[in-house]
Amino acid sequence: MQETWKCCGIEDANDWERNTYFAIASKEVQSPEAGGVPFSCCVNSSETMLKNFYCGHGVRLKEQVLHSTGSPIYTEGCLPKLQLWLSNNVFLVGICLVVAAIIQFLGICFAQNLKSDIFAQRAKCCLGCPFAPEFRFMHLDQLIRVIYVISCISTIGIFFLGKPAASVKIESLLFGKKEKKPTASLNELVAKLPDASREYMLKELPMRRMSALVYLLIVCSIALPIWWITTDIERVPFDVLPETYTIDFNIRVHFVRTSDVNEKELDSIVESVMDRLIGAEVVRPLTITWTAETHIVQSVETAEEELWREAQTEKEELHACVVLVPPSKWTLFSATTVHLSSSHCAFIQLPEKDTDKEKMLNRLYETVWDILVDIPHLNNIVRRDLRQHMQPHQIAILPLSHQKRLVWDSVPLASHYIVQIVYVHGSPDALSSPCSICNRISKSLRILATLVQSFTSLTVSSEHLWDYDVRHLLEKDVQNRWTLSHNGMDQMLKDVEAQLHTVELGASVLKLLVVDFEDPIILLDQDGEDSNGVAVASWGAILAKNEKADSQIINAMRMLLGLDSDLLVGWTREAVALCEWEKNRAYLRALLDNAMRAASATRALKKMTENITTIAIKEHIAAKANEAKRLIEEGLGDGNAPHLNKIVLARELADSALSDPSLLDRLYMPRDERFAIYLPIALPTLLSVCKAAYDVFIWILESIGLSKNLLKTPKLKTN
Amino acid sequence: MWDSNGLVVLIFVGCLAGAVFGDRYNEELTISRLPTNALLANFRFTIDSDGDKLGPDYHLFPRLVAEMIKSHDIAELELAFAQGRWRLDEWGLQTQPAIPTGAHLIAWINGKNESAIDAEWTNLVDSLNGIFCSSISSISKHLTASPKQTLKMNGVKKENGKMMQVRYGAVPEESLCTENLTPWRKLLPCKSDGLISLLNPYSIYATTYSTMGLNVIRLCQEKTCHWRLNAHISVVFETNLEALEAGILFDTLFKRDLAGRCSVAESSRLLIRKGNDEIDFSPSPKSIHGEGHHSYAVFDLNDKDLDLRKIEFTYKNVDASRREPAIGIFTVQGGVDQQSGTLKTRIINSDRGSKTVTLMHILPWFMRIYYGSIQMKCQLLGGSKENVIPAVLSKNFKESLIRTSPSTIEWQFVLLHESMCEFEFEFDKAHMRIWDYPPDANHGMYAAGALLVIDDKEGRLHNHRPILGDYVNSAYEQLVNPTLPYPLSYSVFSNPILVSLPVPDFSMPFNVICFVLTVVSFCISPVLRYTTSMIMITDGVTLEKNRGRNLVRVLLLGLCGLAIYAQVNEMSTSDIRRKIEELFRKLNDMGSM
Repeated sequence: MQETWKCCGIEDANDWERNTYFAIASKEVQSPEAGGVPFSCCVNSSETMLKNFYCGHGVRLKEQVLHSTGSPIYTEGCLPKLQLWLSNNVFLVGICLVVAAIIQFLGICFAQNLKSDIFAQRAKCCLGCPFAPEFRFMHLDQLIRVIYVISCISTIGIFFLGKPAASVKIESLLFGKKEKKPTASLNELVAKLPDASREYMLKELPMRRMSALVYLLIVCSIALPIWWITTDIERVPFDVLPETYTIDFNIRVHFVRTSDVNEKELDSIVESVMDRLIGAEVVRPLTITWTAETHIVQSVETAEEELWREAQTEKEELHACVVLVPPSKWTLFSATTVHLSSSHCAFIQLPEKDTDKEKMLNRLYETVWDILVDIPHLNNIVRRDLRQHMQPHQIAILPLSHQKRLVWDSVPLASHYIVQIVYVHGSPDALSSPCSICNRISKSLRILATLVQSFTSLTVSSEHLWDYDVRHLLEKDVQNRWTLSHNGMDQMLKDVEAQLHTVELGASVLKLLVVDFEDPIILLDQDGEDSNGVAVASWGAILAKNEKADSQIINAMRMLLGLDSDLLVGWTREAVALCEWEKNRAYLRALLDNAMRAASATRALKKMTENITTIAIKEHIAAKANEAKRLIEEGLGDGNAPHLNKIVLARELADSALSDPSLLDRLYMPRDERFAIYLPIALPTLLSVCKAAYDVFIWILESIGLSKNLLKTPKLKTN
Repeated sequence: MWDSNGLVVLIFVGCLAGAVFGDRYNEELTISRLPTNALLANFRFTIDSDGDKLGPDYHLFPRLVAEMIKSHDIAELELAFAQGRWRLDEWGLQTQPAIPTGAHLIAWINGKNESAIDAEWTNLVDSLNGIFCSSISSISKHLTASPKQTLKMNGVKKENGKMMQVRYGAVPEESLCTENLTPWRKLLPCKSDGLISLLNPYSIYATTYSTMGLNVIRLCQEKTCHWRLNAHISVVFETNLEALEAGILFDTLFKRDLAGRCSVAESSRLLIRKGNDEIDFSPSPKSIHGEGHHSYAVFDLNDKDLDLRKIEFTYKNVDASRREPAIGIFTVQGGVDQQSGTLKTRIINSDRGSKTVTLMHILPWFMRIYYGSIQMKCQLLGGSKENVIPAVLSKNFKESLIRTSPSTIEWQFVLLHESMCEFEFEFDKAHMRIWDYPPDANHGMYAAGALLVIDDKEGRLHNHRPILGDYVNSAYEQLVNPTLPYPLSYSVFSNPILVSLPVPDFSMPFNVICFVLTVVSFCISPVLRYTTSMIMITDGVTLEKNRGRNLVRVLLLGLCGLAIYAQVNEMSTSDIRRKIEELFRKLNDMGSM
């Protein structure tokens, strides 16, 4: 340093006194270097071929040496020289500092990355962290961003500094130098070149251009593909059902009459009912095509037998059946106007007087619309799936029975239920009596399972809770009966849930609690009135153990599976566990529910890929989604004979595709790819690529003759 | 005289209960003083199914276990956890069968072929892992062994024409806590009454050693078979002589009183080992069964006259004679570097009888054993220190598969009376991939201890056991019915070992890639400049303003602006890619139109 900058010491040469070897005091120990300076301080040390290592010895002993002009050593200190150098080279120093700053900043970025990973991990492992990781992260993130913006601005600043005019301006401002160099255009410069150097440049030019091309090739063939591959997120395309896709069902309504009923009369009834059915509201994408068919049978009693004998071949189709019975043939109480049989048909009593005809038509329409097919329920399923919230006023205008069932209708029907009967033994004495009702309950539920197997499957098991203390939940009422109130049941649900084990299979679980106590228990409904039991939507039911528990449990199951229908006064239903028409209705419901869910699951998958850029769709996910789509279309067919098993399979496929963990494979990528890391890498490379591309572009222009080579043109001119 | 009457009455009651429920439930608590004056409390809850067929109506047998047996086609199952280390040298043999520190899972599974069994085993491990809130899923990943000769079934296999194989896995670092106890408790018919009410997590997990386990076996008597679930818990309470002499109540040990009686329990018994001690019982037990080391005071907790809160026992005169531990085993690790090491298992037999033993050691794949270096040296204890050559009866090795399965060593040999054997081998530590390391990798990786199964046909170890009872017969049954066979084999586990592996700097690769790329990209532009542009002599004349150069600057400015925009909007390169792709797609669409 002393040689290049022609200086000695920090302030001046006497600073070497501080060094023990060069101190004047070392003369006492016969040091040859005492009072000297290192040889690098000597004026001629760098100019002579052979260095005089002794030139500095004892120089400072001669007082006059340091102040005379002909001194053999430099007398100026190095610090002022360094300051001068720094101010002369402010641009270079600035770049170095910024580079160092960027590298350090990158370091912070990596640390930040690691930190965010750690936070992500920690957030995953413990939800109960003492502090919210997100909160802290935000602060650091903002800080980083501010630093980043500052560094970007300073980079831009450097480029302006680097612009010759500007740098000259700043230099002149700083140091007061006011010299202006003459300027010339590139053409003039080239013209002034000596021939020898021009020839050399002409010879060299192809090599330079070639190297630019090679650079361009390297970037295009290696760097770009690497970038493309590493940031690529696998997205196999898949099809979804379009928004305009409709689920069509063809429902055939059979109107049956006996010879007692006039054909004309029937036709007019059919016409007006069909008009109303076709005109009523069905929520899209569900569309229903109604067709009417009239039959004539010998007698009312054998009507169903006759009908199904002839319609055996068409059993697959969706249908509803009403039998119109003249009052003379009506076998039930005359106050009963509609009777729902255990088979497919509803029997409707024809009015005696014509004035009641309008009422009868109303009843007929309601039988088909509300009971046999239950379109309001289907509409609710569609609305639920389309996430259409019902406004309070919409609920208010619904019929009372529909209001009540709204909550039940929105429960989706699973394709497999695990039904657990749990006997809660409230007192030790309850054990001593053998449980005959228990067997009956299990048996009747298993029979129900065989009945519902066309649209869902039930696995029935029973277990016991032996030492659950029910007594503290029970209250004695005025009649000295043990009652279980709503609050008590609420507590009981929680306690039982905490004591029961999970199931191994991932299926919907229904828990039917049968409370066993030494004395009979009365369950109360929310108004404090006696009730047979309480069903809790998609959880199960609570019943008291008594002699009628088996039929009560079937009722509870009917409610939980949405098989129940609210009947008005004057309507009766055959007292069986499950009627044929109820089965058909549940089948239709299951079809719609599963088809809607399958379609919306695949659509949700599509939506996710549109909105979240890091969601990956692997080959098998796309295959599942495509298969689900194919199965829905195939299963629904033309709406005449849909296949539930295909649609259930479609829904399972769609659900499993939507919840596949491989979707999230690349979720953590964006943090790693943040611009803060890629930019310093990409920016210089990109600039060089542009320069190389420009060079190559000029070269091509020159070689095809569109542009003139500057080196060649003046040469031609001089020649 | 009374005993036999009591038994008859009990059997009668049992039959009656059996007629009503079918399933049977028994509970038993055995308390025994260990030689260091610590107290061992061993809970044993057994549920016997009515017949061979389980479900779908369950009375006492837990539905979940039955479903597990059925869905995985299990012939026998044992899952056990142990927190702390059983001190073989101070406390004698463990309660049998022994449990290693951490967790272990043994299952005999029926299946069509080996791969079907493996698939069922993986499902079983995952499902048990979920049910018991444990972290044993590493078993199915790389810790599954299928030993050939060491493990024996306790029960009887169901003859269904399928092949049956055993799978074994041990996780030494597993810990035991309340979240494991809660699902275990749910398996029992009585969840708050009876002996289970003593299981206070605050007191049992404050002790130095506690275990929790679950065992499912199928038992046959003549032609009728049934399933049995053994749910067991052992706790060692550190007490001292003063505390013992001050009197022990349930409250002193468990910080809780016995609450109520389980109404469905066929029997509920408290057994306190008296041994050669003098103990004051209050109230005095109706009977004291057995003699010598294994003499027990028996309390019938279902007896309505017994005040459960007042049961107290006070040690008057403690038998101070310390019995030499019959069997000792421990494993140590040697070697100084991070590349390799040696593993030494020392087995000590201080008993006067020679024994046939089987040593099983299952070592994770990252310990790569030199099978050639395996050697066993034996010498006699006592003054002579004479070296003897051990009689090895059989050897069985199974090498490890990297990242897939552990290596298994099974040696059956004769352990001479009053001798010590050292089983020793060398191993290399495997290089692991970055994802193979667990969190906190600097701590090291655990390898399970060795299992030693000792054949004891002469019954010499019988008096070294702290308590009676095994999975087939309860302590009470063995006590009142001396004709029942004692266990013919005992198992002991050595301590797990901690292997420290070379650990990389996990953040290295990422940082290095970024730094190198940054430096390269910074170098590229000067290099490019020097290779592609030429030097021109200008004679002090500067170039006038150039449009091209200005264009580059504007471009640069634009890039910087884009970068800031991208950073502020938290965009990633894949977003930009997607936008480019969309642009192309739009162009295509326009072109096709």
